[in-house]
Amino acid sequence: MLNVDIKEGGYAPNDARIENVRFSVGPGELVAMIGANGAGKSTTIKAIMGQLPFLDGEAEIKKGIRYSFIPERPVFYEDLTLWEHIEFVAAVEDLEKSDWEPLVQSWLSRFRLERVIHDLPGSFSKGMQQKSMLILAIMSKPSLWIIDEPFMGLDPSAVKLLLETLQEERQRGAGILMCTHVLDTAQRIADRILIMSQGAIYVSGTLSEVLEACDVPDGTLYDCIPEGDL
Amino acid sequence: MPLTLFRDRLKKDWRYQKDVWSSVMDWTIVLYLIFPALFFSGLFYRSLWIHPPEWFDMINPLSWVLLFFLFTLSGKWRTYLFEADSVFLTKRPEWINQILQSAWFYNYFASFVFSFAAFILLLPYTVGLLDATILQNVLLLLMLTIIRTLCKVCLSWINFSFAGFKNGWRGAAFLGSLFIFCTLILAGIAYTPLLVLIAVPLLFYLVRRVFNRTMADPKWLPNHGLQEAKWKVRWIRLIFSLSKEVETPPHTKFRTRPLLFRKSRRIIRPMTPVTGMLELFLKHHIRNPKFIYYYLRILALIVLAAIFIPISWLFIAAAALLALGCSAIHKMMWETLIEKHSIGVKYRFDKSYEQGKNWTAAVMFTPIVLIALTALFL
Repeated sequence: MLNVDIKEGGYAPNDARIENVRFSVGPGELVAMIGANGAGKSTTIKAIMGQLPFLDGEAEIKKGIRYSFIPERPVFYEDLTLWEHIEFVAAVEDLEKSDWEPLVQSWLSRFRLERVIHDLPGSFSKGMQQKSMLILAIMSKPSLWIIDEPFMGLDPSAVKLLLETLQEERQRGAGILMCTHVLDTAQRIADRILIMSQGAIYVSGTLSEVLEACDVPDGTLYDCIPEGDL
Repeated sequence: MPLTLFRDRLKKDWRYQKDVWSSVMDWTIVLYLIFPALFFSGLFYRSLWIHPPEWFDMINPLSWVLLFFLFTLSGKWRTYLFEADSVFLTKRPEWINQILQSAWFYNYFASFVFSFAAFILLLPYTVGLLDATILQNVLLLLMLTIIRTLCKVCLSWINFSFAGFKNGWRGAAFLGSLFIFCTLILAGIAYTPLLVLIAVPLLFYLVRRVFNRTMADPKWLPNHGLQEAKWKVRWIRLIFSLSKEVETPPHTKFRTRPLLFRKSRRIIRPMTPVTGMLELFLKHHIRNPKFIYYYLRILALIVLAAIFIPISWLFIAAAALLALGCSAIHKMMWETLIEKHSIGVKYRFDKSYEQGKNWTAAVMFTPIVLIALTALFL
C-alpha cells in the first residue's frame, strides 16, 4: 500500500531534516510512527504526500488505491462549508451518493455535527474540526489512511469512536500509518512501531521487537524514547 | 509600562513598514524615480500658486465634497493590540485600556498629519481660487481631522459588530450619512464658519464618546488583534500582491456561514469529478474574490491597451504580456486549492483536476482573446 525509501529530504537544499527513512505499510496493518517533537514524523508524512520541496528517494502510495490523509492541524478550504467539503470529496472521488450519504449522515450524527453542516469549518472548535476531517477521510472508504496526530483535540468519546473505527478499517483491509504522541494507545493498537529520532528511524518492528531492541523487554514505549529526545 | 509597550510596538511597526518598502526601493529607485518625481511635483505645485490653472474653474463643488468625503475614508484605525494580547494581557485590563487610549491619541495625531498634508496640497485651490479666509482654512483642516477619526472609529466598530448582510447595509447607511454630513460641514465652512467653529469642540467630544462607548470595550480585544494583523501586512500585500508566500489573516474568521449559497446549494450539476473541481473553484473564488480582482485588473489593462496603443504589434505584445500574467493568476488560483492544500493535494494527479483547469483557463482566456481580436479588427 505504502512504500517509503527516503535517503534524505528537507525544506531547502543541503538542509536534510530526515535521513534513511525506510518502511512500508501493508493491507490491514497499523503502523504507528512515534517520536519527540522535531523527530521528523510530520516531515516524513509531508514527503509521502508530495509536499516536501527536497526529496532524495521515494515515498510511494500504491497506484490506483484510495487513500485519506488527516493532517496534524485540521486544514479546510476557508470559504467552503462542511457540507460543501463533503460534496467536493464525494465528487472528486466519484463516489456513489447511495454509498457515501448514509455513511456521512451517520458520522455527522455520531459526532453531533448535523447542526453545523452549512457552517464554515474555520469557525468550529478544534475538536469539531478534527471530527470533520475524520468524516472527510472515512467517507471514501480508503485503502490507506495517513493520519498525523489523530487524537489531538478529540473528546474521550470521540477518541473511543476513532479507535473503534480504525479497528474496523483494519479488519476491512485498510492499511494505516499513524503518527502519534500518545504512546499508550500506539502500544495497544499498532501492529508495528517506528520510533523516530533526529530525522531518522531509531528503531522499528513489532512491540516486542522494539522493546527488545531497546533493552527493555518488560518496559513500555516510554522507555524506548532516546535520552536526547526526552 | 503600557505606554512603553505601545511606543515599542509603534516603533517596530514603522521599522517593519520601512523594511517592506526598502525591500522594493533601493537607492537607484530613490535617485532616479523618487527624487525627480518629488522635484517635478514641487515645481508643479509652485506653478499652481503662481498661475492657478484654468481647470480650477471647472471643478464642480460636488467634486469638492466628494474629495473631502474620500479623504475622510482613507484612514485605518490602529491600536497595536495583538491577538496574543487576549492571552497574555488578559490579567491586566488596565494595560489594555491604556493602550487603547494611547491608540486613540495616536490615531487622532495620524489623522491630523494626513489632513495637514491634504490641506497643504489643496491650499492653492482653496486660497487661490475660492479665496477662503484663514478661519475657513483652519476649520477645513480641523474638520477633516475630526471626521476622519470618527470615520475610522465607526467603520472599525461596524466591522467588529456585524457580519455579512448586516455589516453591508450598516456600512452603506453610515457612508450615506457621512456624505450628507460632509456636505453640510463644507456648506457650513463656506457660509457660516463661526457656527462650525462652535461645533469643533462638540464634535471632538462626540468622537471621544463614540470611541469610549464602542471600540474601547475590552471585549473587542481579539477583533483589534485580527484587524491589526490585517493592517500590518497591508503594504506587503499590495507590493507582493501576486506572491503566494505572503501570509494573511483568514478573512472569514468572524463568519460562521458564507455570504453566498448559505445552505451549501450546488452551482453545477450533476456531481462528477470535473464538476466537483469546478464547484470548488467557483465557490472559493466567488466568496473570496482576491484573485478575481487581479484578473479583472488584467482585463481592464488589456482594454486600456486596446484604446491607447495604436500600433498593432505593440498592442499584441502588450496583450501577450498581460495574458501571461493571467496565466500566472490562473495557475495560482488552482495551486492554492489543490497542489498546496492538505485536502486537495491528493487529487493533484487526477484527470479531473486537469480537465477542471482546462475549463477555467478557457473561460478566463476567452475575454482576453475577444478583446484583442475586437481591437485588432475594428
